[in-house]
Amino acid sequence: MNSRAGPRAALASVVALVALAASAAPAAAHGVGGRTDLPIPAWQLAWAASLAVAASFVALGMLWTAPRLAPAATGTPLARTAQRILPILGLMARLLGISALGLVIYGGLWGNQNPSVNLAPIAFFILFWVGVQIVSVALGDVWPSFNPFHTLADVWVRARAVFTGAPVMETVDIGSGSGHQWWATGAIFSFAWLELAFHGSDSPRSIGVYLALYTVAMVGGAAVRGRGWVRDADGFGVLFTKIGAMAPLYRDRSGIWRRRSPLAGLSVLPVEPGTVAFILVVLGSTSFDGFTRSSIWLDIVSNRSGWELTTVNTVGLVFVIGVVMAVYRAAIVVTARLTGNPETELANSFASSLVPIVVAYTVAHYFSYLVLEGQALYAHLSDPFGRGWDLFGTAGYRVNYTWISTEVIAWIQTTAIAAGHVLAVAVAHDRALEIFGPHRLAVRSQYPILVAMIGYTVAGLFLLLGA
Amino acid sequence: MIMALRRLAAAVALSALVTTACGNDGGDPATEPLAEGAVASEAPVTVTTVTAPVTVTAPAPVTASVVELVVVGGDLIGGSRQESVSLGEEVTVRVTGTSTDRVHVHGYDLFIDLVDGAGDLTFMAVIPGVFEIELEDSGTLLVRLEVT
Repeated sequence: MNSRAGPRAALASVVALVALAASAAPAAAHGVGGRTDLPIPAWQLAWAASLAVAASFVALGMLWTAPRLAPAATGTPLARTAQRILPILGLMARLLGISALGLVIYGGLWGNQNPSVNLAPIAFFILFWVGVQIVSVALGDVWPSFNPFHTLADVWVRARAVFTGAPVMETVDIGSGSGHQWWATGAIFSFAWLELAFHGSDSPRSIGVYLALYTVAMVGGAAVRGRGWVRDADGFGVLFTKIGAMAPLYRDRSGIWRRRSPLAGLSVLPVEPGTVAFILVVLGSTSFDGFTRSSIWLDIVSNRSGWELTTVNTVGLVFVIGVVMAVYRAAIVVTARLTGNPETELANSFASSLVPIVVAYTVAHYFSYLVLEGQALYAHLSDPFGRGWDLFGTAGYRVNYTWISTEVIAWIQTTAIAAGHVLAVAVAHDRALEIFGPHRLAVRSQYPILVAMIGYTVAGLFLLLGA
Repeated sequence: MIMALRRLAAAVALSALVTTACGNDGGDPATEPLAEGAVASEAPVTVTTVTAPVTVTAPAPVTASVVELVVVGGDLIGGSRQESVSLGEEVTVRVTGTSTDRVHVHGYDLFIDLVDGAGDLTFMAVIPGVFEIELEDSGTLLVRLEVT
């Protein structure tokens, strides 16, 4: 928002994608085109919405009067045995990350192009995108342990050190990053575009092309700008770090695992230029995904296909992200009027309070994919590329869609949105206390943000109605 | 609002063919094995199904639906639309027109190869959820089938 690099980064990613994804065979729109959830019953919407709104106002009056999260952010170290075991797991995680990336790129590019027998769509859109988010909420920022882009960047930088004779450690440590998150914002937008706008999104080849490009961008960037590049520009990693900050576990700078109170990490989450836009792009993308399930959208895309469909989807995606951004912006402007603080400072301060809403949207929209469509991975294990193999005897497994009932899914969806809202309000409250000090001023400053959050929550629920 | 109208329209358009279906009602479809979503030929060994006493309380359930699709020049006449069917129902998708594409029922992962623009497919709606029915090669969305 306050730098030119952002739009440029986003544009560059989109242009690159469009150029290369053109090779993908046209197939279904929407990442994983199997089953989507039924609309939730209207009474459940009313239930969750009123709970969220009521909780918000009760919270303002009754919540703590001094900041609590930041003091709890340091936490206490885990037992020594855990500290010893975790590095071993770390090595395994690296191997797993790099082999999974290799398998998905290979399968996408050269495997069977029928999306239902190729592992790429489910592995990428469900196991990785949804799975890692949910694991991060529970266990913290585990992605850096798996991140194959980090591993590749390491290997590259070390290999170069061997050939050029430069000392390894120095080379590995060069570059502390770009100091902004606009590249990450562009990266995550490119992913949202691939999943939600591009008409060939479930074609294994487009996933293979996308991930190959992404890998080149990460490793190439690290080669030029140093390892910090991956940390700053890997949109997935940036998102998982934010989500992981909600968890009761984290690794401190010296690599020691500590536990702390849930949400505490959000109070110390670094906010750089682009961070606010990043979070809102993710929120807007998920909202757009919900919106595309509505009958309004069905009328808009009616009979469109190919690039025409992609174009309409892209406009819709940008529009919904724009609306989500405008709502936040409006809340910040009003808060600034009320309190006299600079808008940028306020926008940054409250950004982390949106993270629980991001997670809630993810759970609400994708949880059923994880537990239902995700089962297909069990079969893909035996035949990852759709070549008729049966390595472990599981290739014949069929997804059991009755694992959880539609009622349970609906409850998980509404509860997630309501709970995400309550947590978001709590975090915002804590942030306000930290910025404004006196309780009364802090509470007053929160009203606009609260209204924006209620807006997100009610909108999120309406999107589940599918109406 | 729009939704309600659509549902109504869909219900009318469904031309709900009530075939004599003695076998399949009563049995909880959720407990039956999902045989690729296709015809329930292999009678499940589960206890419930056939011998269940004739239910008098409920009004005669609609047990079969036909989704009629006219596809001309790659477009669905009337535009993409939403259709609702009941869980456990027998659904027939019948396509006429001029398209040479394939029709794909997602989730159930069933296909109709159109011959001279026509083809049909009958399957048991045993998976609850919303499923896209689309022209496979062009990717045009024809119907969102809601199975409740």
